[in-house]
Amino acid sequence: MSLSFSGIVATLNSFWEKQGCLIQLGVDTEVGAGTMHPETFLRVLGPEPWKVAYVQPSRRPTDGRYGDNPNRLYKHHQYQVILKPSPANVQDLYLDSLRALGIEPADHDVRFEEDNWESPALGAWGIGWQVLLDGQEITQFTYFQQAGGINLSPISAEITYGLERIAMYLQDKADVYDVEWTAGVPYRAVRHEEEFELSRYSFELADVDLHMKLFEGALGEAKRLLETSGPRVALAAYDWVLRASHAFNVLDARGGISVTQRASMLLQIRKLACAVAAAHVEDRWPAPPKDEAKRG
Amino acid sequence: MAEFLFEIGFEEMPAPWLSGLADQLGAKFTALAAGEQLAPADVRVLWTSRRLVLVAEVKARQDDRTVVEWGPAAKIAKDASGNWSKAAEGFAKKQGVVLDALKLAPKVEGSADLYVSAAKAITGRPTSEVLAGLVPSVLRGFNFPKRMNWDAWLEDGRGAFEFGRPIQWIVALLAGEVVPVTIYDAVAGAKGAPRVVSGRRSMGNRFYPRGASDRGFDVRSFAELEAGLASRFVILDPAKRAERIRAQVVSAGADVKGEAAHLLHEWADLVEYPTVVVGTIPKEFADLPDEVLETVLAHHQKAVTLPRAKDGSPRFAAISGGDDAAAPNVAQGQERVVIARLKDARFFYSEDRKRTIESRVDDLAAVTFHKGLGSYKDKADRISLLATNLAGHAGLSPETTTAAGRAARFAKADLVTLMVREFPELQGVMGGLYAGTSEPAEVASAIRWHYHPVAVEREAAPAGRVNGGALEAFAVVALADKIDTLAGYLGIGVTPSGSSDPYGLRRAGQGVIRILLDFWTGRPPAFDDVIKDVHRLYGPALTKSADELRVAMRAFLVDRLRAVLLTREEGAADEIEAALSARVDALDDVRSAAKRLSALATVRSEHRDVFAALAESFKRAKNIVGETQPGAVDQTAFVEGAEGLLHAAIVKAETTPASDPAARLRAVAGLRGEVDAFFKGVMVMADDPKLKANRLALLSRLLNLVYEVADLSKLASPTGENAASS
Repeated sequence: MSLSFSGIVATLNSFWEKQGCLIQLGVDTEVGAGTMHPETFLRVLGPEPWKVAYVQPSRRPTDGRYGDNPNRLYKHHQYQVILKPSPANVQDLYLDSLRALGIEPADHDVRFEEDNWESPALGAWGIGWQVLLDGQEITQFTYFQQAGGINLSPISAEITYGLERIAMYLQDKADVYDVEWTAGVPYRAVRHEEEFELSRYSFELADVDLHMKLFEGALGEAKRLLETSGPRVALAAYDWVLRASHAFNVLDARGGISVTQRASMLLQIRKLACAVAAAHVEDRWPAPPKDEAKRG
Repeated sequence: MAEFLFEIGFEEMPAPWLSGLADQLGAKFTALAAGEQLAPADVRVLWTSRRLVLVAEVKARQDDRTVVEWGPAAKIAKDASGNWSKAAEGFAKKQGVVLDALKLAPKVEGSADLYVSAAKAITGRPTSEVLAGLVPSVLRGFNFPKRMNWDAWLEDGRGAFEFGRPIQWIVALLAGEVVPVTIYDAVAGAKGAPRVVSGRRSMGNRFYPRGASDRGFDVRSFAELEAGLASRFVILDPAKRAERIRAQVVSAGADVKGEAAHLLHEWADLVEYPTVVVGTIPKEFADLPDEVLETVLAHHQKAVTLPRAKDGSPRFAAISGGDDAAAPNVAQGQERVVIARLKDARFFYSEDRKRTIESRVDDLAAVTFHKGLGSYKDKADRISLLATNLAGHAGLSPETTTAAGRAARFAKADLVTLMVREFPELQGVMGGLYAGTSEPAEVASAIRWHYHPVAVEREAAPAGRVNGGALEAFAVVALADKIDTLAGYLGIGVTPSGSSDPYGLRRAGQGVIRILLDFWTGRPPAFDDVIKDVHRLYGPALTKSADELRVAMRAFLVDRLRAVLLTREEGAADEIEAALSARVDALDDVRSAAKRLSALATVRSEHRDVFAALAESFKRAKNIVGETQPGAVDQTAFVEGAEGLLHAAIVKAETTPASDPAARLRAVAGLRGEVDAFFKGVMVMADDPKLKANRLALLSRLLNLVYEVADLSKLASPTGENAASS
């Protein structure tokens, strides 16, 4: 009896909780990937140990297919694990999590193939692999090297499972909408209408001018917050960076931006993401004042 | 001698890096060990995706040896009475030798300047100790295409230690005894706890044999390591993995050639224990074009296309790191991935075919070719005209000329098809397939191949794949497209620099040269006219004037011609220089240029000394004649015998047909005696202006003899080989 979609989530939660991870929830604003969650993007900065796992619903408007494509979705679900510092046996832990899901690696071809993740919008990149299960990519495995343009130390391991892919594999389904979400309830019943409506919205109906204003307004607000004196507001500024990023994704799907505009908008997001990261580091682990350092 | 065994175990290293890393390991270890007097021999490096293994014979102990240290000069080292001075005593103390051991000797044998010297005996250290110091340098010495921080620290004075992937274990054994090496954690920029400590424990396959509780095993030697790995599903020798793969693929019926051979090579480094699995694609996909099937299989799944099953179902082979028992699961999983992609492809293919290729040309207006250079629609309009003009100039038949014009107009139309958007590597191929349903075969094949030639080798595609009128049309369309691209970019000042050539301009330039060398039919294009044409077609988009563009294009293309000739080893670098410096336009007739070059290479190899001497003489003649424009030779004005003899020899050589460059070059080679005698016995710059003018005229005639074949002064001529002419 293979696991249902929610059974997979429950199994991973229980597995990673035993490994000492805090089980969190996905960030409550639209994002394209679990990496953008502040529990990842901001927590991998700085020296403090951190272990977290959560499901991140991830919206990628350009991948919307009106619910017609068996593999592509406007919104898919990532199971995201961050281990900081990365334990020496992190690959073995990951393989054990597959066993917990009922995938015995010896009965398959499980392979770590070079794939270095990079997010230009977040000024982040890492070294790692895509994990292939019998030729299908099921996980992105990354040793973070930089986030928000800041070199990281210690290094975090990020494990990102593609939940739909894994469910399709475990349940032997060729169409994502046939996946069993929970006993007797197919993925189609839970999500198909949403896929159609949101695809239609982002490809046909989204108001380009409004989203351009949202993009600029969100960036402006983030900038204003970063320039505000007084106690810490980097987390609030980061929320606005995420909103700008989603507005950009909608515009991209809607065909509302040219190639050069696209590059310049990505650059604006990156600049602010880097500024947020720098402000957060300064808030949390302020550098000792210079004269004090001299005395010390 | 003793065996040194060194294994670095790591998390999966990118397969394409492995053989290079193995080379680096072998070279670095050999150099360092030799520097430490360990006389490394039989150095071998083997690898898998999870380990690099080096085995070598080294001396069990460094040799004891004597090192001579030099001190002050004799007059300082001895006092007036001939005894050792304070300075000498200080030197002896510093070197740790007794005074009696000091000697006076010359630093250079036979010299009268004596210095004080001390012969110091150095006791060789145990090799194990030397290796313990050397291994960190070996670890530090790798050059990775991309390195990672993995919070590691090496105690070699440099601290933070980056590597390609995290290291998991190290086996370091000298004659079976552990050579101690430690990698530490890096904590807050400082040394932390030990993380990897060398030992005798290696690791087997991650998953096999099934059920084993411990994947590790202890070894004392390379033989034990190799045997232990073999029984634990790790084939350490890449050649053996490749052989196993090849045998399995061949038994599945594949033809291991070309791209397949390349893929198999890549496969061997992906897994430690390769097993080939065979997948079958349902018959419903059988009518997809082979090119589409192969692209999905090779480029997206790294699979090799196999001959179809009896019922026509496409089959493929893929690599697996699983064992035979896992193969059915792996094949099923691979099939599922391939089928999902093919479903997309089939949908795109049937959607795309609902419109003709011709009807898509206008849609190209929405696709930017390059900022400032307009859209692909503009490009289609330009290259259609260019191709028609080129075909007319070449003298191709009216049918082929029409076909070339149409093909050029439709060549880019597949950029707006669903299939090419999803699989960009199918550009051209899809255009050809889609055009095949509504256009003549010549048009479809010209579209299909117009991105070629890509490689410079004579046999590379489309050689042998296109013939007759289709070949003529292809050459015209491919040339028009490349010239248009080059003129556009060069015309707005974009040129490749160093390794940066983002628009593939060098490749386009090489394509132009190769089309003219290998595929052109009829009269070769006149470049000045073609460039004028394309400049006019671009209109105000270009920042360069027609004249500036001509100069830039010519320089760029001559450079590419040089590169193609050099890559194809059609001649040595100096021969290419000589042939391209002839006083004829190399670009307007690249085939003659290649022919002249080949003649030069052949004749020169027959008369190497002669050409070395002639090169020197021609350099001299060229310098003397300089910019002067001598008139005709007056035989009656000869004074020296050498003048008449040279003149007679030149006249004779002039009777060989200039159209036969080899004959002309051989004739010139025969002039060496007369040329040498002339330079030896005749003063060209005579005081008598008439005499001088006549001699300049004679030299000029000598130069002109081969100027249309090659400029011999460009040939290398090591000074000293031709004393006769100096």
